Amino acid sequence: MKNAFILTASISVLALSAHAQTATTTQSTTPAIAETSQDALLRSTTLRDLGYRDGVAFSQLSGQTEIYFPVPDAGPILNGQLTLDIEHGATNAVERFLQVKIGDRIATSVGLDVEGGQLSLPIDIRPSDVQNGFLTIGLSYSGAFSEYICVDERASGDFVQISPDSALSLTLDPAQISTPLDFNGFRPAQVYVQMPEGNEMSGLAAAVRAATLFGAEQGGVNFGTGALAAEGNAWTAGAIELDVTTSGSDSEMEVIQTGAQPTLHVRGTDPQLGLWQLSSAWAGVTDAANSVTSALVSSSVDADVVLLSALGADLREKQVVSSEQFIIPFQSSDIPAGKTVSEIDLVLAAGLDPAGAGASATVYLNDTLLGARSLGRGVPERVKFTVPAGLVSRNNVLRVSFQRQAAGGQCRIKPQGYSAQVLPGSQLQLADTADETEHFFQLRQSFADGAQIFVDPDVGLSASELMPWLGSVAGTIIPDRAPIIPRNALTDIDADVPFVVVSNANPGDGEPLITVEKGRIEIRDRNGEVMFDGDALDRLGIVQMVTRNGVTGLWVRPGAGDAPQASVNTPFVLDRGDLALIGAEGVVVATSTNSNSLIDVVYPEQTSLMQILDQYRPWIVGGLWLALTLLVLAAFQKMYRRRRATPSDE
Amino acid sequence: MALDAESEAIGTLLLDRGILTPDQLFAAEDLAEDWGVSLVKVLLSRRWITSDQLYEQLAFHYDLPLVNLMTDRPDDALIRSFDPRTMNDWMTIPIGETNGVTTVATARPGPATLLHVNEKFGTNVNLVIASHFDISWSLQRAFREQHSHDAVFALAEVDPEMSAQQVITPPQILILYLLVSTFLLGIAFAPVATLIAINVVLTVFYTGNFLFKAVLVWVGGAAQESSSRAIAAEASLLRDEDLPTYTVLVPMFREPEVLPILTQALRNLDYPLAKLDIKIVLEEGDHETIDAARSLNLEGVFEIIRVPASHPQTKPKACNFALRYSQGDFLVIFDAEDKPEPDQLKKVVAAFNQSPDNTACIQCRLNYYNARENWLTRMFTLDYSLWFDLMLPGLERLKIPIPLGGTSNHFRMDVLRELNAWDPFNVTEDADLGIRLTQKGYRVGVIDSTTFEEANVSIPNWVRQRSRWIKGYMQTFLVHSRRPVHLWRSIGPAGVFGFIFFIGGTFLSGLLNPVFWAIFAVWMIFGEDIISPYFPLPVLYLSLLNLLAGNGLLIYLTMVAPFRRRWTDLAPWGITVFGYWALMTVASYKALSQLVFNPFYWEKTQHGLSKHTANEVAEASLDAEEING
Repeated sequence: MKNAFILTASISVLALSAHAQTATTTQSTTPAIAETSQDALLRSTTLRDLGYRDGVAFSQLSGQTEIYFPVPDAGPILNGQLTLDIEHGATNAVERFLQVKIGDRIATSVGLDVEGGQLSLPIDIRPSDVQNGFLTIGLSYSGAFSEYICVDERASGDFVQISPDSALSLTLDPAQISTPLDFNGFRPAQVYVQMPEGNEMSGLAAAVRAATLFGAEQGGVNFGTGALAAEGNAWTAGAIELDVTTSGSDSEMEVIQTGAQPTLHVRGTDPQLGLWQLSSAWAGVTDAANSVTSALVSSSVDADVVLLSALGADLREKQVVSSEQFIIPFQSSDIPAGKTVSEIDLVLAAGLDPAGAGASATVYLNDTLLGARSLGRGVPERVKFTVPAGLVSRNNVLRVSFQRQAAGGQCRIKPQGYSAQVLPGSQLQLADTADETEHFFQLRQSFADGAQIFVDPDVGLSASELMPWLGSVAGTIIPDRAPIIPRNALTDIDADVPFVVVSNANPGDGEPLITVEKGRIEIRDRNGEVMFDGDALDRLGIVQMVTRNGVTGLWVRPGAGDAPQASVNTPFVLDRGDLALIGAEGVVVATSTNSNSLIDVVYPEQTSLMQILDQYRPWIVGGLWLALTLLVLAAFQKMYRRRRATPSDE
Repeated sequence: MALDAESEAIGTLLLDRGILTPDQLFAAEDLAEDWGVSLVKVLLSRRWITSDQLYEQLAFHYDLPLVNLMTDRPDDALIRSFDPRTMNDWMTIPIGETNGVTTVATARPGPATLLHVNEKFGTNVNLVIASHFDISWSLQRAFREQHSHDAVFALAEVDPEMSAQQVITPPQILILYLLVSTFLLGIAFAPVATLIAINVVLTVFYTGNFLFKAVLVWVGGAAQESSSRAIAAEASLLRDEDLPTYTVLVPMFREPEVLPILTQALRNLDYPLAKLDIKIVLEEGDHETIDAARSLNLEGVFEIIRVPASHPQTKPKACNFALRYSQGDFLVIFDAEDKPEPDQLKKVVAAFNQSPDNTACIQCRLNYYNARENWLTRMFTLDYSLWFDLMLPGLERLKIPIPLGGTSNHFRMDVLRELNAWDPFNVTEDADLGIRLTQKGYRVGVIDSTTFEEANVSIPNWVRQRSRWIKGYMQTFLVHSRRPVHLWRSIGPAGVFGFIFFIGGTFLSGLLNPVFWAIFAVWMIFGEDIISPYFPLPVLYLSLLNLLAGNGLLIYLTMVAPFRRRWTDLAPWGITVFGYWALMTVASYKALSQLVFNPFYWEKTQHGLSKHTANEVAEASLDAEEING
């Protein structure tokens, strides 16, 4: 579900043969948003919430895109309005138009002034506009030169920028949001998890699961024990109340109305089950007032391949005039544990132009060129590229760029686009990785089948106080689908499932780089300068990979200071490295302790020989040199005396 | 050559007096004719007649008194007033002076001696006969102090730059001090970069070391074949009467049991025994060995030289002392347990004849007669085979100074005396002399003739022996690197590089091996991350080359070394040479310790431990009895 809110970062722009339109700006005659009752809920979703961090942009006098606002059900909608904040400009006297479609109907079409400028375009929404769980907004931009006969449109200098703050505002009847499915579909991106007052591990496990499911690493989840206080009618955070029981069903969900806003009440012996259901393929069966879940069977994961279609990327065909890109993001957690991507296996197709020319496809993985292929037959072709070792990390982007020589011009023929597509048979070939689990992103893979979690009482924090630290870490390190397995004692941790342990003492078998049993700690950089020590270090949280009974897991030591304040713009990410210092600003430093560590850990109260040698090295060496000098002088003196004692031969 | 009249007359006298049988006389006369020597010399090389009997008859023949210089001691001061070498060469010494008449004793009465006596001692002389043993012993007694001093200090006084009496010179200390100071400075302020720099130097050194040895083997491979055939051909054509007198030095210390091996081997040489001037060199306090030598009832050509006790008590000092009493044109040193090939001396003479005029020494090959006794003897055999059979010919071909090897070094007597022979302060005096010869413009040749000796069967004994050799190499390196410019000019760049890698490389590799073995072990156990800061990629690759190619090549060379002798059964043992290298490391550190605290101490190797040696002794004793009988 979280992925449903995150779309690709780049926008594809289609070039169509657009007809010039008369400069008719049609304003919607739909009246403004009807007065709502005081109990109505205002839910606003911006383009930024949908993942359009930079909004939507068009240029070169053409462009078309569709934006999908998730609206699971039209029932609760009283009314709604789409507001587009537009900034536009042009360098020539060009007639330009922006057409907005809501679903299948053209909602409005505006002419854009040749001088450029800004405008805010409100468009009313009808409940009937919701289809198949989405409100589809179609944006179409077009324009034509009227005075100039021959201008290269690719250098027309025009643009239309739709602000990421453009939003769909819905007025909802909270009483109609009565099912967990509706709640999850309408709720804001921000989630508030109301945790049980007690410190039951199953409650903590559910909170941690919520952190992983709802994007705590991007600041998407807040935790507390009290009810969420609503601020007016604006629904800004979806409240989920966890209620842990010791008997009964594993998970029972229902929507309750707390004040003006609905709250999802999840009760049971294992509430995380319900939370997972809302994000899984089984979400659809929660369309009932009360949803009881005992078990969820996930689909089996193929250990040898990952289909691109399973990664949720946009693989629809695109019209390629000169170049277009397919962006397929995937994470290390999409790959089974112990595996890595060894090969990219793509089925590509590119249509031929009238001259019979096809396109060339260039494939990049994390901006590393894997290879290119010429697609000149007009039929799907299978291409394979080997992936170099070490290229895959936590967040990966597979980019397929189609390029063709644009045909047209001569001031008569507008460049024409031809289809290109990455076909659904494309996949990532997997192979066993020989690498040990040495980085956080590899650990994330290991957690795919589950994560044991234990909190040492010595930490001295309640579950709700702990979650600001643990939530960010769990969000970045544990995949959505991984069940959280609570443990009540360190000795209960199984030897075959990775773990997250929150404690002050090292739970692992070996000795990690930072250990708190040796007294005062100084973190130094490579030049020996002290980065953190004393209170400054105590304020920071420490996250380290440790090994226990042959299994690698995570040791989290919360800090005394503020927990990480993650956001969409400053996400909390643990990628490469096996040791991280974390604080309010997020990851302060992450490094690998296996090679070329960025930091050096010194225990001034420990008198290890290596520390003394390192600290006093110049003095020790100076002393040795002095001893050497004295020895040499003594040798010279002995030689001189011997020479004087030897009688001459004269 | 026809027998001279004196010999005929003496022979007739001995026959008439029944001291010799007719067969003995005829045999002696034949030998005298074949060898081109006098009858007296032939008889001295046989045990048909004791030397006392012989000199008694000589006195009768020449109608001269026979004097026993052991009981009638001569005037040492009078003896010291004349040149000892001349007296030694002529076996003629003044023993007293009364009323202006000098009494002169000689062991070689005859017209030539008479002329010499008149020339040296005047006409107012009384001539008497004394045995050559008495005369030699009188010379030793008279010149004891002088010769003892010369044996120790001659080289140090005449050419101090070439003497190891001073282990290290002030400039060398200064250079070492500066190097270590630079190293410490680097460790203090840039430890990783310093260690990398040292790593680079040592890695390049190792690469040069094994490449140099590979080149030696490659170059020396074919060089020996043709020259060996030419030398063997000439040796077979040499006439006994043309052969020169050959001094054989046999320095011993507390090892009486193995002497019969060498004495029998010398008798078995294809060389006129009468032309051998054999000196058994013993410390005057080694009564056990002196008594054992006397008990063997050796021929008159064997003479015991008693070396006065002095410091350092080393083999080269003893040899220097014995040199003063040597009479040959050539000189060779054999150890007591040695068995040279019978034609070795003739091959050496032929080699000198075919070599350039500046050839001062011929080095023969060494190997072992107990090669297969245990693992250590096999390793030792492979080691020596590689060195003598494969590498030394390469050194000769490339004109790189050859460190002489222990025994079977054959010298021109004049050059040996010119260079003040061996350095008594160097415990590998042979290696040092080889370098010194080359620095003085002389040349060392290598021939294909083998002396077999006893390989060490005991590891502690081997470590003692090898530590002495390595210590000696350290001394040799320190001595000859005192004047680097002079060294470069005298032996050339190839010689200098050969000197560095062959002499320096031998002990440096023994000292450095454990460091790199430890690094290798750390790498194997803990992975590359722990050593990667000190091994940048180029250094890592070079180190891997040394590890794999270098060691592989050395193992291969060790395995193929015995092929020349067709001892192919020893080749597989070459794979275990790592254990031998580990022993070398132990010996290297022992050597370094002794170099600092006891540089002149001679670590005595115990001989006679092999069961083969016992067989050899028994065999030699049996042969000797047969000859007697």
